[in-house]
Amino acid sequence: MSFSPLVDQLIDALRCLPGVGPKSAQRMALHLLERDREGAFRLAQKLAESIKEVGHCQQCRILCETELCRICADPKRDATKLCVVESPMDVMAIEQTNLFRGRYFVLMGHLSPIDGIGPQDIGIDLLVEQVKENQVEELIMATNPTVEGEATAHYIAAQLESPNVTITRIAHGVPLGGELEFVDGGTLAHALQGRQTLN
Amino acid sequence: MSSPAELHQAYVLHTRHYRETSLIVDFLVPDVGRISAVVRGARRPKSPQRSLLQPFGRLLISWYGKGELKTLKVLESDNQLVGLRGRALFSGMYLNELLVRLIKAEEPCETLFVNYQQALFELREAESVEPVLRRFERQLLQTLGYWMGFPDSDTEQVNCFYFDTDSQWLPVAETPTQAQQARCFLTADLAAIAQDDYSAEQTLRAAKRLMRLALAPLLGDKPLSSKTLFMKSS
Repeated sequence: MSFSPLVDQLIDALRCLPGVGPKSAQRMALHLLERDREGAFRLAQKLAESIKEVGHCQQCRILCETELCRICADPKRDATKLCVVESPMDVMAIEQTNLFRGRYFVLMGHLSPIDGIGPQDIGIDLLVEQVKENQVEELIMATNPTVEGEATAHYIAAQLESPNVTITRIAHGVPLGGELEFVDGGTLAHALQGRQTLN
Repeated sequence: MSSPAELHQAYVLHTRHYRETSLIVDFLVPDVGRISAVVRGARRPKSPQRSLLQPFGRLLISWYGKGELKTLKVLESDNQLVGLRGRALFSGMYLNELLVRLIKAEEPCETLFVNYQQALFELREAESVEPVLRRFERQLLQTLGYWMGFPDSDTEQVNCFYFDTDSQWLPVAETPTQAQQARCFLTADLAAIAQDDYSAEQTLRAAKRLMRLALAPLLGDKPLSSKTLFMKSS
């Protein structure tokens, strides 16, 4: 059965969200219209505002409504250290560690030739330009420990071969509180290769 | 179809996201060629399959389903880890792109599977990736039945051969014309390629040109994108 045309259109529009099928969209639409009109109004307003205002930070490419994001605009941040990550979620994850005081560059993906994603699609030209312009001393490659993430890190490192820039890769290893017995072979092999001296 | 309990050796060629937590994975399996299978829940944070389903990992798998897209049933590591880095990694991605583009489902490829495995190990060890790639391209063309062979060795007095668009070898009696040059190969280079002898830089260049010409009709208009990784990184 179908509702009025406008309600149907709303249900259809909600389906653009990830993981939302026809049934969930219908529940959401009915909830917004019947139970929480105020919330719906706020949602509509914020959506419209965000779409109009929010763009990408000109330096790190994270989402923000100003020219530079909060991190890039912060003068206390160490501009000589640049951390390269695949997605904005990764920035959040690293920020939560409270250990890194440098800046970020978000690739918004990784190299994946079979899917047709090449170096231009993830802004590597822009990254190389920034490293040279901002006199970055250390580039930390924090792309995911997948084959594509690894390829992306190697590709960027190859583009930036210069004695002035140290290029590092984050370590892979055994999770804290984990037990070796249950760690997969690949991770364990990485952990062994990246071992550190204790004395 | 194979019995569901049977485990097959397989290499992961490519993975792509499917729905919220699943993956569609392309595998290279010796007796059935390339298969695509949904691996349910493979992208959940604690999924033990996440680390196994990386390209270049050899696995033991079984699946069910009659259509083109199967569903994975069992997935185990086969203790074969090939850690590729730098150019070797890009080369591995190039091999995978070739296989994803050219190997069809239900096309047994026992020999090619062994060749692929060999190539991966060689890429890891070799100083130069080019000879490994050229050899694999030839083995791939042979498996697909598109390998044109080499011109007859009886006609050795001919200095040069023209590789025409129907993959036929035509002897070139005199100096090739400008237009012919792009598809002309010296007899000496061809002899070296036939024996996998890539010690001379010139043979490598000729082999690259030859493989490119031979693969072009199979790949169609869409170029291989993994080549862009080499172009700028070298």
